[in-house]
Amino acid sequence: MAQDGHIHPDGAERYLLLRLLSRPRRWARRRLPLPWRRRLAIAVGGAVGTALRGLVAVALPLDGAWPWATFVENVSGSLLLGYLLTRFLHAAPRTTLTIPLFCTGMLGSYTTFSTFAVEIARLAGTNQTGAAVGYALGSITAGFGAALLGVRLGGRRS
Amino acid sequence: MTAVGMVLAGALGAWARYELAGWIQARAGTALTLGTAVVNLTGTVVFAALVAAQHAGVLSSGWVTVLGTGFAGAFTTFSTWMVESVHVAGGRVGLRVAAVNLGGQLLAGSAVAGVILALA
Repeated sequence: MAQDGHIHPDGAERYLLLRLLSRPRRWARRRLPLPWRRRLAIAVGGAVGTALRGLVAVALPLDGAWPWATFVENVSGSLLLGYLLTRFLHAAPRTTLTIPLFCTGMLGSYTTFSTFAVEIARLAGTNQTGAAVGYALGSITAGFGAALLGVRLGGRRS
Repeated sequence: MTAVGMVLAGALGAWARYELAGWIQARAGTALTLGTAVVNLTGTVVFAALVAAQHAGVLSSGWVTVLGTGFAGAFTTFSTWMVESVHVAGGRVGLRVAAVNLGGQLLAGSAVAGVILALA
């Protein structure tokens, strides 16, 4: 286009740009309806949260009785969920996809109950009752405290 | 390959959690934490059954990672359980509700997992 001597290159580019900008945005009309965009956001968040949980598990391999990876994920996820959910709920204007993406999808999947329960059962079933009780109560105490702290921090000055 | 499968299964698990918890919550009325409780207990049954199948030599560890750590891990949630407990814990009655929610899910979840693992 620039080598074409018959049209001024600048003018042609400007014309094309204007045409692109003034074109009716077809993707806007073809957008998914909101319930499906919400489901998609939850699935994408779920993939990210699961990948993060996998990374923590690789970084903190099982060493001894106490399952540190699950403990760290569950407590840090509770803190973040308390903080972010409170922030997002107070945000004005309310955004439509941030809570499904970050809260329901990502942090919901980053933390896990099934692994937690199976770990307790496994500890209790291998004569490590003390570790099982300590791990169960420690996770719940730290998780509840972290969630409470997150909610308090998220509710500040807003 | 297993890692990719785990992440994709996690996406499905999160979606399934949203659908099931929402379906229950729409019928549960004032029981604000019932959706998460049901999701957590059913997911624990799934994960424990997968681990039991692995112990029995029926299932490879790769499938346990994809379906257990990926799907059931994302299907169940600890953080929502905690934040919901904080939300219902206002006042004296609320504190009791929160304690029942915390203790109930903990006892039911670990008991269910223990029974399934013991059966294998």
